[in-house]
Amino acid sequence: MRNILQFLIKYQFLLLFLLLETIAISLVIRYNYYHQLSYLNFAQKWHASVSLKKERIKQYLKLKTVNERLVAENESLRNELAFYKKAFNKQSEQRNIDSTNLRFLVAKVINSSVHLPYNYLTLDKGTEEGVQPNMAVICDQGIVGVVIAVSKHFSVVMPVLNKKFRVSAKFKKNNYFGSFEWSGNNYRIGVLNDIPLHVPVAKGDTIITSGYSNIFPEGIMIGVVEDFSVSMGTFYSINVRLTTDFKNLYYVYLITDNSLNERTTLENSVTNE
Amino acid sequence: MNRIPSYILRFVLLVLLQIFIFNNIQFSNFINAYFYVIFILLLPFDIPRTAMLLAAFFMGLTIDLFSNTLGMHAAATTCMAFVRPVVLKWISPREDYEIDSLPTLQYYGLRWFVGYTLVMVFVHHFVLFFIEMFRWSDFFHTFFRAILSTLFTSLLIVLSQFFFFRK
Repeated sequence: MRNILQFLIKYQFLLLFLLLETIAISLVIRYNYYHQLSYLNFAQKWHASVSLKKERIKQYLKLKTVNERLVAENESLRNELAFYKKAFNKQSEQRNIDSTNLRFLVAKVINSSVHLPYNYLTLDKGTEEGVQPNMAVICDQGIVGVVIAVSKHFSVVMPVLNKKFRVSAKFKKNNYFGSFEWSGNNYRIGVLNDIPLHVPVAKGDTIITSGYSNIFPEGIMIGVVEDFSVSMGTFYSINVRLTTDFKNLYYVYLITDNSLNERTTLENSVTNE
Repeated sequence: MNRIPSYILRFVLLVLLQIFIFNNIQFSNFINAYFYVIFILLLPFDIPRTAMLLAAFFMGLTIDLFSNTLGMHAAATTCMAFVRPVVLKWISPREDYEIDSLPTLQYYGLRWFVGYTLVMVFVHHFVLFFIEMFRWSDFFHTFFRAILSTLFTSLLIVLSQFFFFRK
C-alpha cells in the first residue's frame, strides 16, 4: 500500500496528465458527433481485423486435423475407386492386373533423407496395420519406393532416391520399357536406361511404371523426360525429372496387391524348373 | 498567494476575448488564432506542476464549453502544460531563471520569448488540429494548418506583450 502511494506521488505529474488526457479524449469522443462516428468506425474495423486474424490462426492450428481427415478420406476413396475399377473390368471381361485387387493404406513419413547415396524413409505403420515387405509405396505426386523392412508399428522404405533401387518403367505414349534408377546426385532427377535408339524420345514425355515388376502396379507416375543422350552406342540414357518431391513428403499410400501372391508363385514355379 | 485572484481575473478575461473575438477571426477556415493559450505561457515558474496541469485543463475545458468542441481544447492545453517544464528547461538562459521573475518578454527578452511561444503554441495547435481531424490521412494538410496558425497566434501573443502585459 505504501509502495503504491509512493508510486502515485512520484509520478503524480505524469499520472495526472494521463488522467486529464483520458478525460479530454473521452469527452471528445462522447460529445462530438463526427469524432464519435470515426471512433466507432475505427473500433469496428479494428475489431473485424482482429477477429479475422484470430480466425486465421484458429484455422492454421486446425490444419493438422483437417489434413489427417482429408488423407483418411483419400485413402477410402482410392480403395473405393479400386473396387469400382475391378467391378468395371469384370463387367467388360478385361481383367487387368494394374487395377484389380489393389488395396491402399495410408501412412505418414516420420523420417527421411534425400542427400545420401542410399536414402531411406521411415513410415508410422507396421505389421500391426498390415504392412508387409515388398509393398509398393506411392504418393499423390507419383512413385515413392518399396517397403524393405517392417516392425510392429514402423516400416522402412527404400525410396527411388537409393542407388540400389530399380524399377521397370515405360513411356506412357508408346509402351517402350526400360530400367529406371536414381541419378545418384540430384534428388529431383532419375535415369531411364535400356531404351533402344529407334524409339522416338522427346523432352516432356511422361514416364510411368510398366507393371512388369512384382511390386508396382502399372501406371504409377514416375516423371517427365528432362533431357537424353546416347550411352554406349545402342541405348538412350534419359534423364527423368521426378514428379515426386521427396523433400516435401508427408503422407504416402502403401499398395497391397491381392493377386500378387498368385502371380509370384506362378512365376517362381516356372523359373525353378 | 495574493496573485491567485489576478490569475483568475486573467482567466476570465482571456476566455471572453477568445470566445467573442478570436473565435470569430478565421482566414478561409484555415488559420485560427487561439490567443487564450497565453494564460498557460505566463503562469509563474514556481507554480506546482499538478496545479498547472489542472489550470490548463480547465482553461481548455472552458473554451470547449463555449465553442462546442468538448474535450479538444482540454486535450491540447493539457498536453501543452505537460511539456512546459521540459521546454522551459530546454531553453533556459545560462544563469537559470531568477526567483520572482515571470516567463515574459520583459524579463527574458524578445528572442527567448519568441522561441518559447513558438514551441509551446505549436504543441498546442498540433494536438488540437489533429484531434479535430481525428485521422492521420491528410497529415500534411493538417500539419501545414497547425504551422500557419501557430505563426498567427504567436504573432498576436508577442504583440500583446508590448501592449498589455507591461512590467
